[in-house]
Amino acid sequence: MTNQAGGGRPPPPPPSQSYAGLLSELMTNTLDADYEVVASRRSAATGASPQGESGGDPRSGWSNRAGIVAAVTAFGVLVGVSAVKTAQDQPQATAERAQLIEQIEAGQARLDDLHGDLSALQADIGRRQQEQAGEASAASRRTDDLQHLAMSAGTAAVTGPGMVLNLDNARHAVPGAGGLILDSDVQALVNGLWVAGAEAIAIDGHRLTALTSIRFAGQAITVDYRSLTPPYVVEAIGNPDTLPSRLLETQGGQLWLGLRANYGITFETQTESTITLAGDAYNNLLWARPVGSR
Amino acid sequence: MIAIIGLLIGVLAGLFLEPTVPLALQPYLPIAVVAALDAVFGGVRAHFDGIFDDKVFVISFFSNVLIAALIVYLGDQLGVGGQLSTGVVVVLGIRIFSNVAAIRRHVFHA
Repeated sequence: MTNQAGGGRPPPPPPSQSYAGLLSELMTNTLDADYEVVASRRSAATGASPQGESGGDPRSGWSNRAGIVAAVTAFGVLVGVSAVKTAQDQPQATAERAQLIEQIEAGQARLDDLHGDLSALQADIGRRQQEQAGEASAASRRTDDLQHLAMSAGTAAVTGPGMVLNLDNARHAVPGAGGLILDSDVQALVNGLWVAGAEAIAIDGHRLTALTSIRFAGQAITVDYRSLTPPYVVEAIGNPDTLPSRLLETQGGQLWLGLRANYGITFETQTESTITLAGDAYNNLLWARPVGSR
Repeated sequence: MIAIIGLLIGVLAGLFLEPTVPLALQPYLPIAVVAALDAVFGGVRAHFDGIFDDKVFVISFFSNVLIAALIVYLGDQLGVGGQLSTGVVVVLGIRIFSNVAAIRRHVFHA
């Protein structure tokens, strides 16, 4: 039905634009078609001769002028606002960039500071380690000093080569006859040993220190307030090659040679390669203090 | 003449009054400027062609701006705002160049 009705009329020609490519249409039809349409309509209305754009157009009046001005003013506002916006955004972006650069530089400076701190701390660590090593060696040195002092003072056990002396009263000795060993004899012998170069001396196992007394109480000799019974054994650490001979050259040695010869008192010496002497445990100083301390 | 005065007034108003553009409309401002530029050059060319019409110019100006902004807005909603604004700028740019070429031919007769 409709086919028949429409079939009588030829189909309208397709618009020429549809044959052209999109790009060529873009390039050719750049002007709004409305201008031509309105112009052709106006020329048809006013007559065959086309007029100027606003010459005899009855619609050209203040209202349309106002429309143009409004549109152009709006365009100007758009341009101005865009320019202002761009000008506003640019300093902001620049400021942000400068701020970022500033932050980066600050971070790098901080990193440099931290590196400096790190190297300083490492140097400090090395210095402290050296100090500690020095302190450790000083401490061990002090310990050695203390050891030496204790050995000299007689409070520390010592070992080394030396000589052993066996002393005994004469047989069948009676008091007053001179066959008994006196405290002064022992004192003379010990002094002779010190002179001969003995470094540590013990009598019957009692180490002699600066405070050790050798006295006579009753019938017995006391060393460090402890009574000893004959025979007495005196041990002395020193050079075993020179100690016996040098002892005999001292007054004490001569005395004892005389005692042996005149009264039959036993006086035997022999060298030992190893003698061990215990330290004197009773060496607490109750009153003496180092000078300079309280 | 009166159009140039209006343009100057508009530019000065935009520069010195610094109207605050809503944040949501800021992405469409450059596209609107390009579309308006196209309408303005089209009007100038029509003027030189002798077929200028006030009504057509005003309507084409505002519809150009509106449609360009609308297309970009649509592209934004679809996630292809950048590509669509590029397309709009390309098309309008071609039109602007062609219109300016026509104006040039009228002005310099070359």
